[in-house]
Amino acid sequence: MRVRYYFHIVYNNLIRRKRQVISHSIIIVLALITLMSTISMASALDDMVNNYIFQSPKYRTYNIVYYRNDKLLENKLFDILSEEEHVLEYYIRTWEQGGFILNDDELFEASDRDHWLFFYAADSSVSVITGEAINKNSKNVGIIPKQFYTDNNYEIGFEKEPDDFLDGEDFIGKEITMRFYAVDFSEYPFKKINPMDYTFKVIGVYDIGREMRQPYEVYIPYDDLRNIDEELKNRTIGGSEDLGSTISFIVDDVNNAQGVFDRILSELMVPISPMATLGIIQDLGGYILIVGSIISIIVILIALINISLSTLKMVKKRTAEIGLLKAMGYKNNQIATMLSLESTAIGCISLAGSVSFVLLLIKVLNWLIQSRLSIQLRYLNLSLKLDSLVIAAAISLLIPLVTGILGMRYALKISPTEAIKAE
Amino acid sequence: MEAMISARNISKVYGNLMAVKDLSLDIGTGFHVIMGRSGSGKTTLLNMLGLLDDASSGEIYIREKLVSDMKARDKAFHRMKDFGFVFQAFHLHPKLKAFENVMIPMYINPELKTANIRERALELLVLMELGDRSHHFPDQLSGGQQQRVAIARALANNPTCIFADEPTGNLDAESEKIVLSHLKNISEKGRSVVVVTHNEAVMEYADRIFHMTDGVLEEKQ
Ligand SMILES: Nc1ncnc2c1ncn2[C@@H]1O[C@H](COP(=O)(O)OP(=O)(O)OP(=O)(O)O)[C@@H](O)[C@H]1O
Ligand SMILES: [Mg+2]
Repeated sequence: MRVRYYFHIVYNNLIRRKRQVISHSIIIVLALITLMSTISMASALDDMVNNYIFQSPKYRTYNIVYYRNDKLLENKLFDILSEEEHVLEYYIRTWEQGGFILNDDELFEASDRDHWLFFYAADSSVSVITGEAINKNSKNVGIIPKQFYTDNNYEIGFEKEPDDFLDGEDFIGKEITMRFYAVDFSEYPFKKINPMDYTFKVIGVYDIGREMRQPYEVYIPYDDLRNIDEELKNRTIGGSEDLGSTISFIVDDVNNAQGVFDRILSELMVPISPMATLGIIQDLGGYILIVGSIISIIVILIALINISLSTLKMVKKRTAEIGLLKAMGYKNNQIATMLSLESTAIGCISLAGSVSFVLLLIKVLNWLIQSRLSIQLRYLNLSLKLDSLVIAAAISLLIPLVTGILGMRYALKISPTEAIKAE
Repeated sequence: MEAMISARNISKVYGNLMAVKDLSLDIGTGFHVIMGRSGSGKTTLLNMLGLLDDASSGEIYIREKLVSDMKARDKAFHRMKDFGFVFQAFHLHPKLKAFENVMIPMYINPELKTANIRERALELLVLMELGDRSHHFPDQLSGGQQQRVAIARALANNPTCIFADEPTGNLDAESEKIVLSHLKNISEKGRSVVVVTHNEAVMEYADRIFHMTDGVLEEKQ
């Protein structure tokens, strides 16, 4: 039988059972949509976590805390870290400092609010997007966020940032003076005492989205930060002395961190902790995949049962017609091919429908992510992955064929004499 | 002249009911009418002659080939090549136009060229005086017209024998006449036509008339 005619009959049979075709397709489309969007979402989250968040220096940095006076341990740690090829940089960590801007009247439009910055020691991994980087010998320079917002009550979360963020580039070349205070712990309530000022010139800006930083976090030279820290300690009255010390090290890739841990732990019993942890987002992809798979499987099971029965019903209704084809001399394999093609067509329709729907959904979700979610989530980029497309294609062809089996068995048993029985 | 179909002592048993009893019959060219009351075994006989159903005992020959020796696919081939069927319910595909319905049997005929199938379907409809209805859907045709489409479909692969089971059962007197005269025409062009009916009016077209009573066939002279 000529292929063209198969398609001709199949096409017309599908037109005739339009409503059934639509309802079968809808069930399959639902299953495929849950499956594909689940896989897309899970893999987008995974991609974001692994290719972006975990690649940012903040998440590649680990801390080792040890007793300050244990120079032996400190030297051993330095030895190990210097030998490890995956460790890019290591140093004794100087604690970050927060303070208010003294010359805010010159820098910002008048407002009631104080302007706050938080200092980190610049390391080689900070990527400057405009301006210059901080080199080893620089003094009194700083890299500020491109997305600049000096409110210490604010924290980047899931939601889009306020629209009064400033452009850090406008501050390049300007000098910012900070005031820090030491604390008098000798009597309660504690008092801020002995203010000290620090001035730095803005030489570049970085992207807080890429570095996973807050919009008021500024990088200054390591030595500057250490000086501020030591100076403030000197000016502090009372309080307990910090006996701990911390070595920070940055690895080239989070996946290589474990090797470094193992080496350190096997040689020295010291705790290692990541500088930043992700919490729920890290496992969210996995959860979505599990929940989505369960839903997909349930929908697929419903589809299998539902479509099987209604296909069988459809074939029974066509008993006379199929009997007539047999009376005309159609062989079982020709009838089987015809029915399979009908099923396959439903599968293809469903696949096309669900792929277009998912593509549209992905477009809308990506737009929402870009326009409604925070800068640190803009690397969450949904896409239709090839593997999910392959799985969807397999399912969209398998469901109709599997559910066609009952009807097919029935059709093959129909006797040509059925055609003669009047309706 | 040799018979197209020969039945020798065929019977059909359903449980303890013998629907066709030890029946012998030769079918050559011409218009054959098998009359009989409801339940007398007419359809059962037609099914066996048309290779739609097997006889319980006895032999059927199609051009001297023994049917019980044939495989299912050989029987299917004979049904495609040698026979055409017309039924009381027309069984046209509702979403196919008249000429497309006529094309269906030709799809599986390896002897026909693809390019000719459509033309042949249209010609057959002209023959059935439905030239102007060839692009209509079944629900746009009267019962008589639908039955003529079914006859055109039965003629599609140029069969030697047309079997018609109660072809006028769903038709009014006017349409009945037209359909029967077409079947008569066909029988006059060297084909066999076997009509099974309990409609007395069919008899006037007959070359041979048979009566069936409780599975026993008797030719009326
Ligand atoms: N598949 C079957 N199983 C059991 N009995 C059957 C079967 N087909 C037919 N019969 C019986 O065989 C007898 C003959 O049936 P058949 O259909 O041949 O009659 P008919 O002459 O065509 O009747 P009608 O004019 O009503 O069509 C009837 O008693 C019928 O009940
Ligand atoms: Mg009958």
